[in-house]
Amino acid sequence: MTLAVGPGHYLFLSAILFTIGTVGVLTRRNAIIIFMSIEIMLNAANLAFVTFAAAIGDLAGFVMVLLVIAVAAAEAAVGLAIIVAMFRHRQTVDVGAFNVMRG
Amino acid sequence: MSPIDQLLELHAMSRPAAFAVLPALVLVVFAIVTLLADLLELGSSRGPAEGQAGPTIMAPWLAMTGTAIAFGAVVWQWLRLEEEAGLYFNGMIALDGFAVFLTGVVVAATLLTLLLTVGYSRRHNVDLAEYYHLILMAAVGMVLLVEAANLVMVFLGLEVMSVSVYILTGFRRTQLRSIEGALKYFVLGAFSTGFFVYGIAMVYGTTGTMDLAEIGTRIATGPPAPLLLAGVGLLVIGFGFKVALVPFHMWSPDVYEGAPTPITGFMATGVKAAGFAAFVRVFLSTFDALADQWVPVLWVLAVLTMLVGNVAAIRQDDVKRMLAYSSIAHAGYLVVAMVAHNALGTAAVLYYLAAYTAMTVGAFGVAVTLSGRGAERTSISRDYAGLGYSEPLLAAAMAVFMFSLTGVPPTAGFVGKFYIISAAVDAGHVPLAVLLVVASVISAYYYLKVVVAMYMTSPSSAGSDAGPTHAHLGALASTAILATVVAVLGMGIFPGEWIDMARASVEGLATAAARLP
Repeated sequence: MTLAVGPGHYLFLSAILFTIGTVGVLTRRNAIIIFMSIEIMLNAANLAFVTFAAAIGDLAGFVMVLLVIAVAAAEAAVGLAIIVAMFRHRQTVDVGAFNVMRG
Repeated sequence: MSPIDQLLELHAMSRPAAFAVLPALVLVVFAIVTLLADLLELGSSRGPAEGQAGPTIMAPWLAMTGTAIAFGAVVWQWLRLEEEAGLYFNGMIALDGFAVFLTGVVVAATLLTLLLTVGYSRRHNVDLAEYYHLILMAAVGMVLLVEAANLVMVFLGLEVMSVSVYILTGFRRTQLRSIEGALKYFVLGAFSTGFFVYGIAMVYGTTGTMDLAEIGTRIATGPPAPLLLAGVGLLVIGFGFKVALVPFHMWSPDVYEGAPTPITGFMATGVKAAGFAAFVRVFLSTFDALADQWVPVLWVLAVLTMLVGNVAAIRQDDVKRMLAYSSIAHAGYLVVAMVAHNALGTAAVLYYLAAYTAMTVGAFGVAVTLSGRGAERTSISRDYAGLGYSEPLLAAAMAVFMFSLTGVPPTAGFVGKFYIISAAVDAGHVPLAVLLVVASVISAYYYLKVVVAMYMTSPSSAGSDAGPTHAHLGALASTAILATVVAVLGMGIFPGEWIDMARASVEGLATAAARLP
């Protein structure tokens, strides 16, 4: 018995990854893990893009993936800098420690 | 063909293409020059020690010059719109009335922010060249977002804008609030980007294109695929986060409070206007065929946004938090205009964004000039008490902005709300129009609280130990506040010209969707 891996499987994997990322952002308290979860979400979208682009036979989806990777790198630089700055204030990267503003 | 001929042909092709993105080009060039000029200044030992980063002298002037030239470029685009309108860069950039009108709004918001920020930056030690560079780069992102005619371009514009503003929010990095604001903005902004990109992927997967006009024509026939609707839903979430619609608004009060005050004003106006520009273009033009599906969703979001924004604003004493909730409420009014889903509603969005930008930049401008050395002084009950006597002109300006935000004639805020309500009633959304009026009545309470504090309380009775608040009104900040007062009253007393401009701009949007067969 052979198992054919088709676009449906990739899209299903992409949906699972996106869900894992979303749940990670909503439940974890560590800023670095939250950031990793966001990266998982973006990569889930990338997987969906390449799957669709391959299925349609259109190059735009592949190009979009490169752009998303570039933007994610820029976001990583800024995000990690913000996390370093927050660590300097409180000696922790737990987002629960950063709640002086409320209301 | 000889190389020279090829070059000439390339030149002939590139001239109008460059014209389409001229404001963004000017802003990019000046953003780079701002950073390079800082290197020259560093060489001439102006910091605490030679070669060390210190207050910049040239950067604010370069940034203001660049933004003023960019605004001139927008005016030029507007004047030559009939000859030059169309799609550029292989359908990535749309030059139409809608784009040019809103480019004008975001570039004006940038210029006003720069005028307001110079004195503030000196008092709060953030007058580094990077600060001005990032404001200009955020403006570049906004211009590209407003002109985007392809989901790829929408994504890139959104990110260029957002990443710059994340940094600006945390620019006072020695202050815990600033970093906390930056952290929240970054986490929720990046989270919403995830939804946005996934939404684009779904739309791309079902339609096979990311071109906004092409998507519109491909979904016009046949019932929508479930995957397409999922994509549209994800895009609603993505845009909802960016323009702070309830229930995606949680980040906005904390971010607005933590950011440097001029940047808060910039976020409340420029970022919001650019976000709405793309939101309107994608939904009212591209997803027009799916209106039956998204109108009810936005109806619910509009109601929630108006009510939660206004009710939460009542409890606020910090003027920046109050204006944050106020900006959420105004996003709700703008969504009402989108739900109306007619030409008048779209024109009302444009008029309202221009009016809202003028009055909100003005209100934040007053808050900026009141912030002293190191301290922000944003408490309504303490710092604004008796302002009508210690700073009569500034208080009068603040009163104009508050009346306009409430929607009292003869201000721009009144005319804007009038057009939104007319559009909603025309479309048969009478309950929504009634709710908008109710929301405005609630908003009168907290806007007029500022006026009451300024004119009917004295600093001593309010328990302020720092004495009456004094303004740091430089020539630049005064110019900005005066310009916004003139704009708010001018657009309110003579709305005809403005609404005609907005209506003409919307016709461009309709033709952009109908251009392709």
